[in-house]
Amino acid sequence: MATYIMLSTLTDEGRKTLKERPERLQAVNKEIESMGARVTAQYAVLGGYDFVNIIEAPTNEVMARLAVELGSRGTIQITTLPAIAVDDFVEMLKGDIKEAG
Amino acid sequence: MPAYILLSRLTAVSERQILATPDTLKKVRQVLEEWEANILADFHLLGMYDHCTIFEVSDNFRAQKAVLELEITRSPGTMLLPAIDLPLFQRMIGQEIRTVGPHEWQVKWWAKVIRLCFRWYQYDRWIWKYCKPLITTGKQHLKDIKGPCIVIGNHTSHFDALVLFSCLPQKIKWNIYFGAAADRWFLKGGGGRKELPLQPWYNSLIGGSFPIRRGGGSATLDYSKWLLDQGANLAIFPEGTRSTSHHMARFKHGVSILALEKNVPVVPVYLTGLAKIRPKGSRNIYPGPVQAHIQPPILLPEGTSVPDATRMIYHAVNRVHERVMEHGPDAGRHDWRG
Repeated sequence: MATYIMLSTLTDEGRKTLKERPERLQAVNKEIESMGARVTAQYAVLGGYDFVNIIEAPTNEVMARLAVELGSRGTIQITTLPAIAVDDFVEMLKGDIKEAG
Repeated sequence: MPAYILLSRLTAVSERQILATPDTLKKVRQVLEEWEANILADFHLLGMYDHCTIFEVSDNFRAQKAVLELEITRSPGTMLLPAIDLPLFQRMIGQEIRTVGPHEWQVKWWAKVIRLCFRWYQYDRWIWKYCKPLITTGKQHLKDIKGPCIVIGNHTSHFDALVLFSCLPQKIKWNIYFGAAADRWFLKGGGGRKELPLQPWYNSLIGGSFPIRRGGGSATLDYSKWLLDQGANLAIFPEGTRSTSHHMARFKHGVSILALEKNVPVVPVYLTGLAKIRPKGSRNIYPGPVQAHIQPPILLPEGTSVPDATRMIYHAVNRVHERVMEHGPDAGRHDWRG
């Protein structure tokens, strides 16, 4: 499974929904699972975004589908970033350097 | 511990460094850990940010200082976002966050008499039922205390306040007030819970507690200072919240500020056995042996700085804590000689 960081910002409509029904957050997680992905960590944040979610999904396509599905409701704006564990990335870079040498 | 999310973009210099020595990326972790941060996750990203680190650290100041030390974060567009655990955030949205109190009437004679009448209900019945036995040592240290004092304790359980109260002599108990988290015990209307609409008033009158806002700020201590001016004693858990590790958490500065400004003694009481009776996060209560070891009062010398005073108080309690960790509950006695 690949990892993705999903940065999301609530729209005005999203803020209203969250205030009225905070339990929606968990319902969304279940929907994400039903689409073949899984939320591994989730934070509400202060600053340029409202939520940071770490999601595992099998492919970019599943993740794109997920982003469209969630974004289409008009409650959040989403930025999705593919993520690589730093240790794996460092190993990958070292491999490249060896090959180049 | 608060969590933070660092979204950073690499500068051209950083990118060159990483290509030359990929391990440079791991330095992010090292630098953060030097600032006592606990790294929860660490990713390289594709897209508008290059790197994401999720870490826990004690406060905003440390988080910001640690990030400033990082070469990788010096590019424009880097963001440090304070994060809130989602279940907590969800609870916060759903519940009342306005608080009530403090109630100055709690120091009136009639409030003290009512409190005395409810003492069995509020304190003693719990001690009688679950603290089997409760051993108190060091009461002689309190004989010479004439005016108000600040009693402090290590904090591992909701039961701590009950035992701290019970182990004190009557002259202190009669006029003692407990600092309690405003966002937990003094929410308006009981935080919307139907069974607790009068919780803040109950806590002020029967529990003898007063609200302390988490996060400090100069106004936080105004009521505590007022209580000391009225000749009242205070009971405070300077760790701020219940500790679950084997190490005592750092002390907040509130006790030192009060003791220095009002020139009152600080009486440490070391409590053992309570984490097993009612562990943090559990609603179950299990009977067990409890010990309360009253230590000699600490009088802070005039001119001591607040951080030094906090250190002094912390070391006095931590010495006992380390003895207890090594040799067992009896080692908490002041006169313990191995």
